[in-house]
Amino acid sequence: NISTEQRKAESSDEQEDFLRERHVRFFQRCLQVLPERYAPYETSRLTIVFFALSGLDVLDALDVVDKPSLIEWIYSLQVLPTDDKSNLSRCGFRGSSHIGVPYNSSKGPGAPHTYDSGHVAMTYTGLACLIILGDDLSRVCREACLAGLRALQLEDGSFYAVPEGSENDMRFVYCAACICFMLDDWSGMDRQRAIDYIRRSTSYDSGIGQGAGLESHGGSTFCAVASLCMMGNLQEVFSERELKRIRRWCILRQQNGFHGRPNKPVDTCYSFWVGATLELLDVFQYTNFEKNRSYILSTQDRLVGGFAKWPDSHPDPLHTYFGICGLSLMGEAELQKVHPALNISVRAFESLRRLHEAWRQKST
Amino acid sequence: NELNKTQFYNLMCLFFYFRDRKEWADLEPVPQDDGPNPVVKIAYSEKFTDVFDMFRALLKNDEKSERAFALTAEAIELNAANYTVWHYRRVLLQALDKDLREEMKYITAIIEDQPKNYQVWHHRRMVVEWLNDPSEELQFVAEILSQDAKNYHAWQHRQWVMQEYKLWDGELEYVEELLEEDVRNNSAWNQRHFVISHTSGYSDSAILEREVQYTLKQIKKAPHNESAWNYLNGILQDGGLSSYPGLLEQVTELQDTCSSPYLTAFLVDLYEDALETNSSSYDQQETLNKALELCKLLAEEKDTIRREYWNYVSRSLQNTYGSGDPVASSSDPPPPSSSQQPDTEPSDP
Repeated sequence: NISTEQRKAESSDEQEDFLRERHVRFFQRCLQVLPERYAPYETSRLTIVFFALSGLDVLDALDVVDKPSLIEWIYSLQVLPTDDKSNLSRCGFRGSSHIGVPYNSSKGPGAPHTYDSGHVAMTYTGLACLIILGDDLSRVCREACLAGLRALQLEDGSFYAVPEGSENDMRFVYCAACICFMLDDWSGMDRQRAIDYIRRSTSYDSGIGQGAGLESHGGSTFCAVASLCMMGNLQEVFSERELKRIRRWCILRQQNGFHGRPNKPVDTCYSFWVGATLELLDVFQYTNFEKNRSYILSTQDRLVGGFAKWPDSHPDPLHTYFGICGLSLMGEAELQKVHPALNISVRAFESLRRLHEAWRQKST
Repeated sequence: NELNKTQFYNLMCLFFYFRDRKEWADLEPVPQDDGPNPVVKIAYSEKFTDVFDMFRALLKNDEKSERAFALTAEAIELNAANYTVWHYRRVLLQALDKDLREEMKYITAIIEDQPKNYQVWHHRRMVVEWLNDPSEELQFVAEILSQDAKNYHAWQHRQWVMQEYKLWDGELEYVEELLEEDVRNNSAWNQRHFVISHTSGYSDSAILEREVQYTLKQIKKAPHNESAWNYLNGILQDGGLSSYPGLLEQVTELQDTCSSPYLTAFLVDLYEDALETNSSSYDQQETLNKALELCKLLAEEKDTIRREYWNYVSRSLQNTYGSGDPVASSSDPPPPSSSQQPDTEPSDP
């Protein structure tokens, strides 16, 4: 029989421990089978693969996955140029096999299909997954991906997700910037127009919204700042005064964990969106790590693993991944460091850098 | 109460699969093919697989028919996030010259049921554009906002309608209603800025003063409200906080009854503006001291979660405007004049 004091001490310790093994298993299960209530994620299954793989990478547990099989499956999602190259503006990666095109792990030309085209977020996460898995991108049709990307940019500088048309906002500007960065080729976009879109999306309160006039939001602020960092233009686009104001808007998002907008409840994933933005702005070090960490861990599911947006809620791959990345930003033990702009481990980022070196050498 | 065949069989806990229906016998269903090692496989029911295998068959042939149109509704019911189904439905709406008024009723019901889905709002926007009829939109969005006053999709649609069709009348009144209901609704404050920027603008000093007074009134009702303070700062920052007549006095007056970390931070910003513009109305040394004092107050008392940040702000102010030796913490961001190369710098093309 333990005393009440002892039980209280133990339970308060429990809340603060990071259950690494459980999260590894959570991601392993995600990679296998998901229940039918995940049907809405069919067209974005590749993003779930990204959360799981990048999550396992940050957990330093990639040894549990069958890398070659995964690489084949990811390459089967590439929309390849057809023999007559008439579909170049539709190239990129699909989110899944939902269209019903026959399986082809990027060996040979693409099969023509009226409705087959890439999705900017899937091209981004597909490339990121390949890099994380140590692939050299040799089966990626880089020129086709870049042509597909150019076809998605609007006059105002923002991007559609798909060539058939969709909504357009800061999320896809970020995806586009990641693609150009990973392929080491900015011919995929008109950078100046994208920069103009970002400037026009800055709100009166100095946060950044999804588009001009829209409410400033932690997600879109991350997308904008990270995109500018990847372009190498952050300090040219924003004056020091403007950067100070963006820092202030971001740092005010901390309540214990972080929320995404003033007067909204906190949510685990903003520990990354806002945390990473603050890191890119060099002031994450001035946030309160204890309160942030306590909040993230309060959303940990101790039974099945994973993290949820709020305590006592169901965990999902997205919040698990961003909860882990949020902890990594604070230097949590057992976690690999995350590159705050590209949102992959620093280790994966370095392997990308080496790939770029090899490409540049080949071209000289 | 009439039921169609599908509904009847659904009720009977049986589903009459499309693959077994004689009207569909000519189409070979197309399964998904994930190859030998599928990843993140979703465990679909037979009904789900049946509908989507048939959908893939229609897509492959690019069939344009009534039965195809009917099937898109089935597919949407199972997965309203599948953007290909919505795109195909739009192709059919045009190819079959369907009644777009009926489509508006349909999409209205779906959005009510799933108001945080991207595809449904995009679809509605397309139908409104084709009809060139925004007449139901503001009321519809208001309905959705009455259930969740901060739904980002709803606000995005509302702003699009207003800007596209120039429907600005009555919006300031609507915003004020929302702020009456919840003065902390940041989306409503944002909308206030949106509508005024696109109508009168803030250049007219009478408008600006009206807004300043309105905001101060809301602050008095609820002092600890970041949204109101952000709005006040936002509308005055271009002109310069320290140059706005009477502002320092009005805000200082609030300190006893309406104290909050936002008020104190506002004063820091005001003093910083005085320093930056080297305003002759302010004694520079005294202003710096006041700003530093307030940063200390925030760090130690009023906003302790951001203690390190307010200390950093102090150091920055001291380094920029102080007359002594630079204060440093080695990890502070370097000042703008130094050439900082981010490690993410790409090579020049």
